[in-house]
Amino acid sequence: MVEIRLENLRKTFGDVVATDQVNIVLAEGELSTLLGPSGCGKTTLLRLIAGFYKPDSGRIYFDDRDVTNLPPYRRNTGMCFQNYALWPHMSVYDNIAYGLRLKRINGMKYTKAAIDRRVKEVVELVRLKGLEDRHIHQLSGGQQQRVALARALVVEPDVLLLDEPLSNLDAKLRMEMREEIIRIQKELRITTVYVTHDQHEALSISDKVAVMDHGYIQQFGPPREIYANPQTIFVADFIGRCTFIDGVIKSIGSHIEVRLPNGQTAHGRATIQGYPFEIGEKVKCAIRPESLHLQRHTPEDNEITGTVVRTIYVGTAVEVYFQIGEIHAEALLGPDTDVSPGEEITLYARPTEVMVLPLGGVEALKKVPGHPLFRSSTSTATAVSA
Amino acid sequence: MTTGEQLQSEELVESEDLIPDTLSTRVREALLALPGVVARRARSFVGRVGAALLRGLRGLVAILRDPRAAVSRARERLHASVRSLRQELDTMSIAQLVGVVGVFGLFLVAPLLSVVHFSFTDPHTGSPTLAHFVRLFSDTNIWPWYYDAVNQRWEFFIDLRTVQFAHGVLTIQGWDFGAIINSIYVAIIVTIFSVLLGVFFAFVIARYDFPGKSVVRTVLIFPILATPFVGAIGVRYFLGLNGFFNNLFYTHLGWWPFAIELRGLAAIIFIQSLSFFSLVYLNAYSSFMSIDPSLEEQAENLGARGFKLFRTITLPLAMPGIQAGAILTFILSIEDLGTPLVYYDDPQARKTLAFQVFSSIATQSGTIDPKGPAIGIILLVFALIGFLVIRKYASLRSYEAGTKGGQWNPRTRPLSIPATVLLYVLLIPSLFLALIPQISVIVLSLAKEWPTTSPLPSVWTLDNYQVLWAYQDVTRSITLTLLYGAVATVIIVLLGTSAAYLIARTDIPGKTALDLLVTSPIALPGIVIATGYFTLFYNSIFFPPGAPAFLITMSYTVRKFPFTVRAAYAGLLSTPVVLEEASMNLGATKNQTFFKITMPLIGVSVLAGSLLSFVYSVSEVSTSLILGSVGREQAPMTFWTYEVLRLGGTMGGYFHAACLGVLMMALQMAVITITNKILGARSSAITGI
Repeated sequence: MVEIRLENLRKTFGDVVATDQVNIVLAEGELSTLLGPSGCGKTTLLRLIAGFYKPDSGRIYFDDRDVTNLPPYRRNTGMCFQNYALWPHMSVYDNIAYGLRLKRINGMKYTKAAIDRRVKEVVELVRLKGLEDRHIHQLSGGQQQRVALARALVVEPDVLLLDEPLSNLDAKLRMEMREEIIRIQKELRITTVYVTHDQHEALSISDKVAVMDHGYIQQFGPPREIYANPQTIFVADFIGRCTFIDGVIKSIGSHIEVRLPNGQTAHGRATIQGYPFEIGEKVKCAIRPESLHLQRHTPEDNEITGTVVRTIYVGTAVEVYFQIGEIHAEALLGPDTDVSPGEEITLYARPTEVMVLPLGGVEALKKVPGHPLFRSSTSTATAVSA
Repeated sequence: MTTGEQLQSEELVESEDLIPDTLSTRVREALLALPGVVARRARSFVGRVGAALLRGLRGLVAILRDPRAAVSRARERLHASVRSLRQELDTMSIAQLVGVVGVFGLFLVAPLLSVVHFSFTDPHTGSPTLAHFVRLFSDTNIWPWYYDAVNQRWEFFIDLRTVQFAHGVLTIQGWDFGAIINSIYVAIIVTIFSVLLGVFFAFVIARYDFPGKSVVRTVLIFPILATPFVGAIGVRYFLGLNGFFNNLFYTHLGWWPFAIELRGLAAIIFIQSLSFFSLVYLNAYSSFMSIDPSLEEQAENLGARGFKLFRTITLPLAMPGIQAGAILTFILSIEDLGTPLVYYDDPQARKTLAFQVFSSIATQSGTIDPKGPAIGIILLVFALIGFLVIRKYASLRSYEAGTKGGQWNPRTRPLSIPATVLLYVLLIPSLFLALIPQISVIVLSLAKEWPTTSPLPSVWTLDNYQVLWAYQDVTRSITLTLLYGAVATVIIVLLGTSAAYLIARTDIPGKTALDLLVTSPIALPGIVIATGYFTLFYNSIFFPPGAPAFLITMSYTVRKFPFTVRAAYAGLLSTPVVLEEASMNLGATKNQTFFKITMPLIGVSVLAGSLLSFVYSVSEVSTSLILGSVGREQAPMTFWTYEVLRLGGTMGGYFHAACLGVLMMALQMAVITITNKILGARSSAITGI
């Protein structure tokens, strides 16, 4: 098991910056997800770790080993490709045994019997027993996925790399394989990097999630932390749902007071630890649908009034879409709620449930002294001194 | 302790799990594994053949046990296929089907059957006989062993002399075993050279980036330009005793201790390899490019690299394409008539199957020596086996890799500077070698005087090109060739699009057979088809004595059909059916949909394919020469190139023949450039098989 340390990674393709200023540590034995919309640089990052790309600058460490310039075949990572990349000219057994046959330990190689035993073990682990002699085209999508996993695992890699492994499976199979991957990962306790664009998938399997956009890591932390304390507007919007209201900071005390465009004052909290808000700074208030209630709990509760546009009954709750002036807003209320379109509705949110976020996305985070995502970057220094 | 920890910790790798991996153990293992591999291959082959036999036997037993049921089953099957035919076909498709099958039946299948019939029939009594083959195998030109009745023992004419040295000249020629074995071994060696060269170039171009790559890539398309026939004209002169190489390296520079001359079969091997390697190159290149990059990346991820990666992953995945190119090379080499013809005065070059067929048929009178058709059968057997193997084996194993998702950037990597230098050291001589046919033909066409000791002509001129308009026969043949080609291309486009549509879009019974039929001409020897035209049509309305024009056109139609079919088929495959369904959903009939939606969408592909068909018609050698020989007035350009080459006089000889070669090359170059522009990456799928 190893810990993966990425320091200041930057990779460009021509003029396009695929990923930049990546500074994270993926702890040993954990499953970390790279999550983001397509084109955000998550696959690039994974391929940098695998060694298929060389970074323009920055370093990659497996524990204390600097692997930045190691070719892919020296890194001892096990990668599963999105399309599985199973070799059609080999049987299931040969696909899985391939890596073992190539493996050398101090100039020694595995005997046939040893290879056989290891393949058997891993075939049992991924529950493929009896299919060893099949050809690839005789397998279903889920079975192909298992072969790809077995092939990556059998060489006892230091790191398991999964590139959107479930994206080609149907919904039911996806759930099944997701559980399977978690089971195997926990059983082997292998450091795993998992790329996906599905936030639900990411939140449900990860120890840590790295949310990416436009090549930057926007936030890196446990799923709960990502959801409860989004660090940028993008993260708040991409993970879960949010209503955003523009505003200007009025005062900073135990709560942050924000003046809204309609003249009202909202009370909220900062989600970024150590961010130096200033009076008069333009910000956005983000409110999750489930943070809006029909009753007032405390005197400081924010009061929001709007016109109902549409309601959707989803069984366990009622989704209420309403309009506050120009702003589209969304609330998740109890199943008994009875409101109809056109009706005026007043809802309450506690100050702790209104998240105040600075504009400027990742750039704003650089103003936080010693922010973990920008530890060693030179731009932090200038931002701090400024 | 969990399984996980066991798998993870290296200390737990038990010592008996490991064996030393040194060169000697590797060699020993490879040797030990060899019998196993051979046995496995053999077993799987025997198993497959056995299974097929067993199936046949079981079917036969079933028929014998209950003939009535078998008959009713057969009738039912027939009814079912008629039903599905009726379902699938409307008037339009029926017309298309009848057109395609009619033309191919009449001008491909019937002539070939006629050759078979002719070669097994006694010309006097009309009864079946093997006499022609017996005569064939007692002819020492064809088969070296014979029974000497006088001395009562077996004798043979085999000449194993290859390298000879006399009077400061090193002569290299091939072994001589008689035409049959000569043609086979020449084809095998040509195939080996072509595969080595073609795969090397294809791999380098497909996987590495280096300065000047695009130039190299363009240059590598040139060898297809000259058919071996045109190339041979130039090469023969360049490699001759007083040609470019000997005069440069021996006479002038003195680098060679003696003059070198390639003769006979050795020269044929050399010329054919230089022409045909580009076929393998194209097929291999498109195979390498269509390998899903993640398949190789996965292997690298698991520790494979360099030659190991190439041998275990890249090469096996590209194998179907390489095999197709190799088999095609083999067939084309065996049936190549152009090269032996250029060396017609060399006795060894005449001992090839293609030349033997030619000399037994191409007579002014139109009478046929039965020897020709009999050899034709031998050629046909090779071609058919080869073609079926390509279609069956290569297409079965053409790996349609999972292209869903993932990135698909061609896996190229930059070369380091020393590697680039090394590459160029290898590339430049081989590229120069590959371009000798083209360069030499162009140089020849511009030569006025070429002293026997000078590497290059001493006086240059453009006057040679006068042959194109001042020599009446040649001028007429150029016009005629373009006419034949144009007519053939029109028929090809009409029928080719129809055939492609039927194969890609309908579900008629016998679809696979139709596909096989219309693509087979790419591998069927032209000389055999031309032979069939003689045996079947001579003295009929299709082929009045001295007037082969119609059959020349039809032979072009049939022979160059595959290029357009394949292009149209590729176009149809890349056009989603839903586009046509949407049109029919909105009320357009099948015919309206075909002309308003399908045709415009695949039009570009069809255009590109038909251009190729046209240009390959123009440069067609074997049928042109054989059919042209009985009607010089109507003979096409390639025939007159051969005549000009053979004839002396003011408008004869190498320099003037080379001008005609340059004209053909220019035509081909223009067309291939256009099709490459139109089709882009798809072009290789059409020029290859």
